[in-house]
This record gives sequence, C-alpha cells and structure tokens, in this order.
Amino acid sequence: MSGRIPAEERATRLRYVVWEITLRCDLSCNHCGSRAGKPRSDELSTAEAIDVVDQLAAMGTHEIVLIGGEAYLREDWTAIVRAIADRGMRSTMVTGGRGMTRDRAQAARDAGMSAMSVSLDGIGPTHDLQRGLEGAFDAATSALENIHAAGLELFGNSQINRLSFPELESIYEHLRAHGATGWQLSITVPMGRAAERPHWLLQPFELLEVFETLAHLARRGAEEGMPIFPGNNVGYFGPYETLLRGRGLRDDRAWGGCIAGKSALGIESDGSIKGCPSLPSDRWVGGNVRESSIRAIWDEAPSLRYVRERELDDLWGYCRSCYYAEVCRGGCTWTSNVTLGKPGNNPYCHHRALDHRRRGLRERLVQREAAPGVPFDHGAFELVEEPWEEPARIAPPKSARLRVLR
Amino acid sequence: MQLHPCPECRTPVIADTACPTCGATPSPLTSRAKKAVAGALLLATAGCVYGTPDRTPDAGNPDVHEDAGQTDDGGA
Repeated sequence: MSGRIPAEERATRLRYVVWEITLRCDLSCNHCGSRAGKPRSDELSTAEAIDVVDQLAAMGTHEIVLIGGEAYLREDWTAIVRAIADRGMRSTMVTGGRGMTRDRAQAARDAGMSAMSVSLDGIGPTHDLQRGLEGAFDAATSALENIHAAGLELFGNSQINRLSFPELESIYEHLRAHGATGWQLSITVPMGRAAERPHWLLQPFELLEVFETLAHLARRGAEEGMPIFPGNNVGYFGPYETLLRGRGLRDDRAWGGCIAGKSALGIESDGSIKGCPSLPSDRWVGGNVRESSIRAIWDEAPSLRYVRERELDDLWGYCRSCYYAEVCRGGCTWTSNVTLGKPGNNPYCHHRALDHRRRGLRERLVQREAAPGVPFDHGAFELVEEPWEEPARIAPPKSARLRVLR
Repeated sequence: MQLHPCPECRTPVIADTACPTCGATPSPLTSRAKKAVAGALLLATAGCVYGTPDRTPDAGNPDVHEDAGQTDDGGA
C-alpha cells in the first residue's frame, strides 16, 4: 500500500477513463445517446491516441474503458489496448458484440485487455428492437461465448427501461449461463435517439417497482457469484442502497456523489475531454487534447471542475432541500441535465420516489420539446407532481412499432 | 458527512437524525443501532454508466482504494 494521500488530492484524483475511440458503429441502437454510426471526421490518429495513453498513465489512471460507437471498428484498437496494458493500466471494453468474433476476442486478450462487457437489453426481439438490428441478440450471445472462450473477464451491461425491465431476470440468467461474473445496470435517459422515444422511459414513480426487482437480483447475484453493479444513475439511498452499492456482498457502501471530473474522465474520438462521457458535448467539453494537455484541462477547465466545486446552492427543485443534499449533490449530473435541462435536480431517485409516496404524491415526466437530432442532444421535459395513483406493472409500450434493420 | 445504516431498514442515515425511510430515531441507541453506528458507511464512487465493473476491492473509489481502512471519516 502506498503512503497516505491527502484527502484533497484523493477527492480529485483521476482513476477511471471512458474513451470513445471511434463513433463508427455496426449497430443502430434506438436509445443511443451519441447517435453513433459514422465515425467523426477528425478522429485521433494512432500517434495521437498513444500520446493520450501516455498522458493518462502519467496522471495515475487505474482503468481505461474503450467504447464507441464500436471500439473494435477502429483498425488500431488492439494497438491502443496494448499501449494501455504496457503502461500498467487496466484495459477494458464495452461492446454491442455484433462483430466480436473469437479472433477479435483473442486479439484483445493477447494485447493485454482484462475484461469486456457485452450490452444486453433483453431476450431475442426485445434486444433486437432496442439495438435496431434483427439478429443483434444472437450476435451478442455469440460475443459472450467468444469473450468467455478467450479467457477474458466477462461482464454484462443493460439498460433499464420499459422494454427491458420485464426481462431483467431473464437477462441475468442469460448472462450468468454464458459465464458473466458481473452485471452493470443503468437507467435509460432521454439523450440522443432515446430522447425520440419518451414512451420507452421509466417514470420516476416507477422506481418503486424497479428497486424491488433490483434488490431481489442483487441478493441473487451475491449468492450465485454474479453481483450487480448499479451505474451512477441508479440510486439513491433508501433501504436497498447498501445492498446495491455493496453488490450484495457488503453493507457499508453508499452513494457519494457524481464522479465526473473528480475521479472519472470522458474522451471523445476527436480528442474532446469531458468529466463524463455521457454529458452533452456542447456544454461539457472542457478542451481538446490537440490544443492542451489532459492534465491542464483536468485542472483548469470549468466544466471539468464543476462537480468538484459544486455548492449546495447549485442544487434546485427537490434536490435543493433533500435530506441527502450535502452528500448526494443531486445524483447523476448527466441524468439531471438531459431530463430537466441542467444539473442539480434529479428526478430518477429512489429516495425521492419513496418520499413522494409517503406524502401521497408521485412525479411524472412529460416531454415538452423534442431533441434536435444531433449526437448527445436532448429534448426538454417538465416534471409534473400529482396525487399518488397506484400504477400498473411496468410493461413495454403497446404502441412500440419500430424499424428493425435486416 | 457520516452516514450509518438504519438499524431497522438499512437506509443510510445521517448521524443524529431520524431515518428518512422508516422514521426510526437515533436515540436511545439499541444494541443493534450501536453496532450499526460502529460501522459507518463508506461513500462509494465506483460504477460509471459505461464501465466494466472492476472486481478488485473498492476499485474506482479513491477514498478507499489507495488507503483502505484509513479514510478520514473513520470509515468501516
């Protein structure tokens, strides 16, 4: 163990980087926040990418997660993986899996990758519908098999929305049957193509049902060796917080606030730097590696420093006067930003839903403005507070009739 | 800020306040509550929405990963 690190330094020490190495993608996901498909016109060269790896290593980064688009569609992706591993950092990747052949999985392993996570949002047609491609589920299943066979650590990751929620337990079982040893879950929020499908999104009051299911799966995952990992927009507090945040294995963990720009960093394929890869680019890019060092952007850019320096007065709405305001600081910056237009008031919160329920109330999101149709865009939603009404069980929208590419 | 698991429902509770979920009050402390207070909650920061979950202990949590057991707030 190294010597003690001063609390102030620990609070802002870069540990975790999520790097979109290309926006090119072989799927057409109907909830894709970045509207991935074609590569950006000015993506980093191999030399520039290796320089990024060097800079991140010098900053003490623990793990770099490669994403896309689809990361393996970049020709030099294994060279980037090797550079990361050679510098002692953990190299991992999230994939939709359409082209994750046995050879590609083995190439990743040979280059030094530690783990891969396959995105799975349902069984069969439910997954295909969300991923915009008939056969996507079968491809993802093959990817699970190929990654497992190559000897990489294997994880799954899933979106929670009205389509996937009824199948969460089946997804869990499918992942476990194919060798996954962990499962990360995130709530689908209205960014990019998902903003065009508000009928897919959960309503805040439905978190009461969602968290009962998550608690059940967390207990099952702990018993069966496939713990679930709540993403940063799944929370917060309530009676299942320690069960979920502790992966069902320990009961001393709780949400400690957004990590964007505190211990996490997002990089876009053109070298733009954000505190979190999900944050809308127009407001949250703090600089570009072609113009400044990552260290300088990390230290100086106001958008990177935002979460570090956020005050209670930056919170608003329910979150401003919340019991947990001081420790939570409004939950996930991204989720609040893309639903209600600015950070600091997060409607997707279990404690908030429980508190409203106790007072005979519930909150519902109503879309007031459509998304303009560019990467990382979002529409505008209004939060309606209304008397509690016992909801129906969460189910896919009957009106969902979406184009599935062949 | 120190959080403790509510001895009744496990909701994280701010020291010296009632549980916001079940209303259990912090005093007088029961033996279960005393045990709970002894094990204060760590504030977890692992788990990016895109991440592959790192199974190493406390990965991604700078408060505990480098200095396990030495958190300034006297965490568990």
